[in-house]
Amino acid sequence: MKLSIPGMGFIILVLIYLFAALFFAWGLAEPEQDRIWTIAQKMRAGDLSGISPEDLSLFQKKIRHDAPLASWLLGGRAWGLVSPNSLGWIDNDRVVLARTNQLPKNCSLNLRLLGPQGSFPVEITVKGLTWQKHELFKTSGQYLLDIPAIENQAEIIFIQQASPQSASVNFYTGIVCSSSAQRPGQ
Amino acid sequence: MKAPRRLLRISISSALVFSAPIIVLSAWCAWTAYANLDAYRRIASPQRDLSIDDFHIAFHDMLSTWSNRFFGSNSIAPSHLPRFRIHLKNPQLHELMTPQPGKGKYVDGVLTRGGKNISIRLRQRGHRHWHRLGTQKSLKVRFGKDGGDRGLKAVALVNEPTPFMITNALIAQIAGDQGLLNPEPDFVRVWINGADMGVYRRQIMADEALLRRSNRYPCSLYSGDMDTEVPAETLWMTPGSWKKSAWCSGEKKSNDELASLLRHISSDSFQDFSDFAHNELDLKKFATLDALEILFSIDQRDWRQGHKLVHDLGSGKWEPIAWSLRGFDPSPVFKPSNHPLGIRLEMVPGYLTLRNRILHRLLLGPARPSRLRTKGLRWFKKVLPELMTDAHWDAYELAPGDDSFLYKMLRPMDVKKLSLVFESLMALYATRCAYLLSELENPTISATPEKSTDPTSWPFEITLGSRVGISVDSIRLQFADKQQHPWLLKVAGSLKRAPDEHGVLLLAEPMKLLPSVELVKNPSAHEKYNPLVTRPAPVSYKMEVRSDYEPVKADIWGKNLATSSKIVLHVDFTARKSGSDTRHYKPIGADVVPSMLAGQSSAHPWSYRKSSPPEEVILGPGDIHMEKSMFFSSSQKVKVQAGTRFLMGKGASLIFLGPVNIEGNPRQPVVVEADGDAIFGGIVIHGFNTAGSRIQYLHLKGGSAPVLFGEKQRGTFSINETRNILLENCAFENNHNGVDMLHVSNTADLKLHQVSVKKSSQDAVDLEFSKASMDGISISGSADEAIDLMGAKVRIHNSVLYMSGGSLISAGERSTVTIEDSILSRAKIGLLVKHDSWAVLYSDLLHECQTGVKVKAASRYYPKGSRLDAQETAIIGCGNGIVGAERNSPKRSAKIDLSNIFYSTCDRPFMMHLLRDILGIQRWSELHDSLKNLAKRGVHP
Repeated sequence: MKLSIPGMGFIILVLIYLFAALFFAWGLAEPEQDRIWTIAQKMRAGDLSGISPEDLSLFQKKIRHDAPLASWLLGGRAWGLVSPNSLGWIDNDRVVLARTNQLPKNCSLNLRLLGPQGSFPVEITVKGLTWQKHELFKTSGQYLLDIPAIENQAEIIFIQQASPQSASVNFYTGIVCSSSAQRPGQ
Repeated sequence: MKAPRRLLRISISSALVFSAPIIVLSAWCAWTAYANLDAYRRIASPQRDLSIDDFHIAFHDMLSTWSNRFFGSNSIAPSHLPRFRIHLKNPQLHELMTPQPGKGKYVDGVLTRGGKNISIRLRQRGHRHWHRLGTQKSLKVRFGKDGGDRGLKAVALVNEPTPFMITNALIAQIAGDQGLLNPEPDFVRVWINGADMGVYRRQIMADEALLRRSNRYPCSLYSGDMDTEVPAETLWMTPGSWKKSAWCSGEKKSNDELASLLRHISSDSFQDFSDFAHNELDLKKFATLDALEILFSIDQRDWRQGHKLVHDLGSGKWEPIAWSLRGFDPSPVFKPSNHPLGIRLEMVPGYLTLRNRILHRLLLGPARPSRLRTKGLRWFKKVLPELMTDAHWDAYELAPGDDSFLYKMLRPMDVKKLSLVFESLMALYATRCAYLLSELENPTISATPEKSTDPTSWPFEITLGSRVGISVDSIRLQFADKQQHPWLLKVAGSLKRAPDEHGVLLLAEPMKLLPSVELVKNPSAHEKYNPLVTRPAPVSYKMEVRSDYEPVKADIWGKNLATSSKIVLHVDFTARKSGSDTRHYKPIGADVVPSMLAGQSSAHPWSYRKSSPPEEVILGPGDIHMEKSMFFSSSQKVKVQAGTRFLMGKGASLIFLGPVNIEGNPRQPVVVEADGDAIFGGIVIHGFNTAGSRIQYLHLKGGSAPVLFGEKQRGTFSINETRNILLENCAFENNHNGVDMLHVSNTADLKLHQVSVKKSSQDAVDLEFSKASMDGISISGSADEAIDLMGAKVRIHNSVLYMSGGSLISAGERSTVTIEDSILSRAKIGLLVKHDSWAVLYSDLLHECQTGVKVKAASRYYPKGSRLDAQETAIIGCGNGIVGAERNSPKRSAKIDLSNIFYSTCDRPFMMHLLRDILGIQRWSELHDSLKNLAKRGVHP
């Protein structure tokens, strides 16, 4: 049997149906705005396990040049905890915090850890857009963690804590722009 | 084999023909999505240039909606939502569904409910895009004479646009539980001409029906909503800017009371407005609505809009309706919006404390996050089965808020998005609750000493810097030599007694230190709606220790006025400095009239006139000529001695706002009568400070309608808004001008014992929303009802009611009345039971009435019908016995339970008891004369 070479008409037919399929597939695909919205709702609800690393990365890239998005997320403030909290005290192991370039340059992350000695050391990982910090805390106390100045309009900071008995550790976080508490290692 | 080869060899023109369907379908889909997007753009943001991302969202939404319709579940789980099946003729349907400018015209239709057809008129409602743009349009439905549910004249069917669509219903439910009038939002499923229009939020209109459903007498209801084209303060300067949507009979056009309210807001001094607020505003309800708006971050009630005020006839007070309850805005601000009335209220001493206490109670009680979550889930359980099959279920705020065009665009909703929104809002709400609790539980207070040149004077001041006030209960001093020494505390010019042997000064009455506010310009973008907002202002309370010995420290114990938790302050006298920091503290007197400008702060709470211990006022004995009214404030305790006679001039009245004891006796009653031919006002006992008043052997002859706070009272003797009042051995007769003789409203625990009323020009005794017991009452010759009850709970026994122009007893508006051992004689109707009321007759005689008892069936506003239980009762000489009991009556919906009813005289023990013990006669033949004599005498034998 000889294979026939498809004619121009067939190619046009296939291309048209292919474009149509791609058009409808594009239409059915979730718009980027919807992904951003879903991620924001999950962050606010404290459901970080439901967000993939790709989604987090997408959100981080979107917010760095989108001051209105940060303003919506933070209710107009210069910084704030996006995750559920009680005046800065967190119940989960993972926390999302957002900051904007309205803050002064020399700000630090304020951490407070309270718990029995058996829950220490507590490992804290702090991750921004292009930087990451990893610290080990051996006792209860208030600590200031230097963080790089923000380069863009806004940034999401992810904080994760791990401890032998994380349920026993009370964890507070926030941003301060003047320092009086000790720094890790002091 | 040929076919595939032919396909491979298809010509270009044939390929185009075969591609035509998919091309047409794609083009049509794209065009439909674009047209929808463009229609929204023309309403929401005509200047916007649409982008490919915008189109992607619109296209995606359209495809999602279609795929849900085709592949989603069509079966409806059992639902409890009411159904609105509306039928319209095609031209009316077309007119209804066509977008119209302005309000839209009404079209006629028919609503089918419960197998009945009700004629209705409906039109489009709302001017925002979510009300008008899609298939599911918001509607206003007016019912015909058949009435809607429980007498509603009209309802709004709203296409609810919020993702968390139960917000309004959830908050309204809490508001209703707290005693606030509210539109009772609920959800219904609507069909129009058999087409499913989906789930709507049904809302009662702010009109008479809303008042009646809440067992209120129809009274003035005003709505304040203004557009942004006129200055914000216009609403608060001109009563004409408000719309009156309910009124008392004959008062439709008058808005004098609103004009008076607006005048008080704009022109009163701090002191005058405080007095007005305590007398004429229901402060608790205003504070409750305020607290709810703070709790749920509701900003709908501002300088221009969202106001619904009711001037309640019974209490004579203004109260708000909880309206426009769209909340859960994640604002970090304590109070998102304000308005001139709210600002003036915040400046009334004690109001902030009342509001904060209510807010604290809500935070820890019915509105705490876990309870709210449970309430929310309960609502969803009710609504979700219908929403899941609602093809028109949509919402805005389903895109990030950085782009307001997309943020406000209506997009398809589903359960997954709903659960995301629910969890997110619950988390935000919990965070807000933590913030609010922190604001209430951690007041900013400082206690600092001051220097003094007097070696025996040790002044200090307590400064409050937040929203919360404190009370000071006790103070202890520590001296340098560590010994106990005598000392005194001087506060606002008065000395407090010396401390006990332990050196602790216990204050007999806690000293309240109240917070203060100041006006600032609104820093946010919504200046048009909220030009000024309030924030806490520092307020200092100066005190002084007087002692010959040097104190080093003072410990002050007290309570947080919002949370009742203990507070301890310390004053370190070793750190005294000269003068206090007066940068912020500029005390303002209460006689100042505040301006609505940034920088204005509250008057110092200690500059208000103090409420002193009740001043004892003794009147009489002897004649007292009254050319004008005598007004006794709530701080005056009045005693009227036996033998006092008030000779009243034209329009003169006796007004009591504090406790009053009228102590007449059988030989020397207290008499109130006209001076010559003058028609005087009457007597008013008003307000909770009058509780416990005793009126004994009072004879009131004549009178008309006394005036209180510029308002004519509805009874010559009026009792309002109080409790525990006794009238004993009193006689009232011959009043004028078509006014009730004794009118009681919103009063609990009223006792009438041996009271007679003769020839009243309207009702003899009128009770509204009150609880009373009446024993030995004698009423004759009243022009209208002898006893008229509205929303009252009353027990009547050993009484005689004789001859009235209306019914002898009329029980209406869900009243409950028990009548025992009483005689009702000679009237059109002996006992009238209507409007879902309940009457019990036991051992009574109804004599020579045209109708003995009439029990009315269901009516427009009272669909349940009334109830009568009658036992051992004689109905003698009446044209009709008991009406409403006919078995075949088409209107029968009253419940009537009869036992031992007698229609002729006999010697049953209860009948002989009535003759012998109530009237003092032995035989039936003496009945006529006995009643006539009673009418002449006006008192019981």
